[in-house]
Amino acid sequence: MGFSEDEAEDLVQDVFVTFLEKIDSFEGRSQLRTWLIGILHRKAMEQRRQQAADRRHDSLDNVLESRFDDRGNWIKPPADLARLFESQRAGEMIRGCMEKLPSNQRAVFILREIEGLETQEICKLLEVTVTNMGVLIHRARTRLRDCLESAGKG
Amino acid sequence: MISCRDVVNILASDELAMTSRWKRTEVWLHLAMCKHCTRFAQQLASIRKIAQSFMVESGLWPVRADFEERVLGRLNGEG
Repeated sequence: MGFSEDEAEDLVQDVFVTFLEKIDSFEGRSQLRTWLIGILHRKAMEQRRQQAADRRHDSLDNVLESRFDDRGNWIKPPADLARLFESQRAGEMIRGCMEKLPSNQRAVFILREIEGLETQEICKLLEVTVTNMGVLIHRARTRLRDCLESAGKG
Repeated sequence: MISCRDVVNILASDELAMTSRWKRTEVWLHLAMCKHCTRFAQQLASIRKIAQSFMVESGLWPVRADFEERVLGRLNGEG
């Protein structure tokens, strides 16, 4: 269906959760297998729409992508931020950059990096799949790093 | 051979622990040879460390034990 192994696992898990929630409404007019495939199809479409929306709404992916050539090697390597990280204002700067994050990315960053929660715990708390959590933490970290890099230049 | 883009994506999205042993070895080998990816990895670690220190120093973390009680109190119009 064009999903990665992790996405496929999330999808199957989603299908079974929906199956358990809706089992009372199964009237037996179709085979159970057909009904499950129907749920799978709807979930796959939902996931595709979500992925498309994520791609539309987050130009950050393109920014990061533009740092690499076609073979995936750095064109624009990360700047040296050592001096900035050692400065007294590093904490304030990170806070400022954190405030600019979309709320779901900020929540994942805090739960992961500050609270130190495991992936499964974060997914349960925020009701997101493992794949979505990976995307959110990736964007949060990349945004923060880029924000600090820009701040370091200024 | 794993690319810099792949390494950055694996590190930033927390996939390293979930990936195969072979892939992890590839990432470590890549990091041993690539100074740019090593810098990227170190910066992610520094951001985590500084964010934690800042939250502790400014009293925002750890959340006080009576946090839940205080929120409920506020919601009930107490204090």
